[in-house]
Amino acid sequence: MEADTSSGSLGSLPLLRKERIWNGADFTGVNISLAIATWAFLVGGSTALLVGFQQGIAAMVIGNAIGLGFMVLASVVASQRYGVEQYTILRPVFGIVGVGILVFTVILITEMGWSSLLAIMVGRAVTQVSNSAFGTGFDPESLMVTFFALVAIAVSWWILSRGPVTIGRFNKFIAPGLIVVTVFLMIFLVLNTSWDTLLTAAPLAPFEDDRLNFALAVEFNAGVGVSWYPVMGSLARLTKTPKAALWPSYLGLLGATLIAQVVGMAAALTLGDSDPTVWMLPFGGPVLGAFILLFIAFANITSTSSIVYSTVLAIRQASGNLLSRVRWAWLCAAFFVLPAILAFFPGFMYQRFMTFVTLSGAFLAPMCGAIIADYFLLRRQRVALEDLYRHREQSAYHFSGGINWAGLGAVVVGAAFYLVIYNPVTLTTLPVFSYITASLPSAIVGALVYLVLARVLYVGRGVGDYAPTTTKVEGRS
Amino acid sequence: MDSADAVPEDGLHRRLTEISHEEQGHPSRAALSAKDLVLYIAVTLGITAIGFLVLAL
Repeated sequence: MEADTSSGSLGSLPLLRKERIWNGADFTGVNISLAIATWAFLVGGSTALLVGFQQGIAAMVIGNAIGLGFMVLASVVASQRYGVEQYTILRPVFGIVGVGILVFTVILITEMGWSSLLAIMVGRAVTQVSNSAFGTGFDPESLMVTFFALVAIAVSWWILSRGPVTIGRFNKFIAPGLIVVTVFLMIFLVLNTSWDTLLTAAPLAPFEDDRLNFALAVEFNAGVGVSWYPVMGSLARLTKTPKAALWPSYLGLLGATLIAQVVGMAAALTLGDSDPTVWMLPFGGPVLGAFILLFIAFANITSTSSIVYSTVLAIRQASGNLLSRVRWAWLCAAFFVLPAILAFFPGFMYQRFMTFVTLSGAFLAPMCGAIIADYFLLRRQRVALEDLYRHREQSAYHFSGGINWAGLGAVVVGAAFYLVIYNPVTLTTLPVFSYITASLPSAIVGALVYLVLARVLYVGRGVGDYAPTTTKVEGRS
Repeated sequence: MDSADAVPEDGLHRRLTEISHEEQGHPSRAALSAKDLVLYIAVTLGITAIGFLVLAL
């Protein structure tokens, strides 16, 4: 590849036709590789805390179908059409400063939380192996868990600082390996449990209200579906056609996620523990189980590198000139500071996993709603490509001081609506939550608020290029 | 290796020109059709309905 081509693939420049390398089958593989990750086992195990097997499958199908449904529309469609990295294509919805605000708050915190959790899972996996092989007695919240989590963060940083080529090299064997682990878990589940046992297994730590448990499980899985948002658009821009982006994103993520989550839930219900690092030794024995645990530890490290890559890229681009001169390796190191601090609280992060996922969903869902309303309803899938890159007032998407207040207003109101219906921190819910959950309603609220505010603030005044006169996809170059 | 580029003006201009001149009407830059959008929503609702079916069985 020529130099210019490779820099476009890595950064925010719009991709050319020849640089779009993935057809539908390629992108399906990419999505399956992403979804068959250890976090899917963790989500399956956590769902088992609330509901039994049959209700759990229903909650996973409904939650992921809905969450992924609107996340995919918001993230992949525009990035694919224009070949533009997903945070650059957000500028018409939130303004360049508004995108920066969201990246430095919602996206950053979401990805830092996931990184920390994956690192702690590495710590737990390695200490389990140590306990089994050397007879040590490290508990799941011991300082050794923190130590190995910090080692995992350091290795993630090293891989990340080497760039996407190194990440890709590791992922080439990690993804097939995780498929093997999933199959392994399936086989041992078949050997160690029965269909009747699974169907009658009680949830591990439910609340008293069955309907609420099911609604919480659906909402948790919807939050997991939405939490793919920070990485999907930047991948989809590498696809060749809209269909090659849309269907593999949705069906690839959904299918692979469901398989891994259902296996995780079945393992959790069989062994009575929601932590995937606890399952492998009882199922696989001291040798095979330890090998799988170590593989999972390494898989978590590469998963962390993959999800953090696009976030750090977004941070740099959203900061304008502020971070453009900071070396990539230093920027990556700065990202890992908070996850490293959180690694000192392994018990807290595991116990608050659901809270963290649903809380990030409270902000990502209305974000997705605003993006869908902007791109599909107001702009009719048209964006002026050149204006995405123009500076300050020269850009049609400058709005007021670089902020599209309709976009930020939609996120704030949508998130507030979510937290009123269901507050994941205090676990207080309105009765209506048990019937409609929270992600989809807050996405709808975000979309409606965006439509109203954009019309009042900008459309009537001709600000924001909401009704482009040109039919050219490519803008005004 | 520095893995994220700034936006070089000449590179950007060259790309925008090439996209404008050579990629007009190419399928890779097509909008998502109404038919695909409707089908996508129908599939999403269908899978959600399957979830409720699992619950009801």
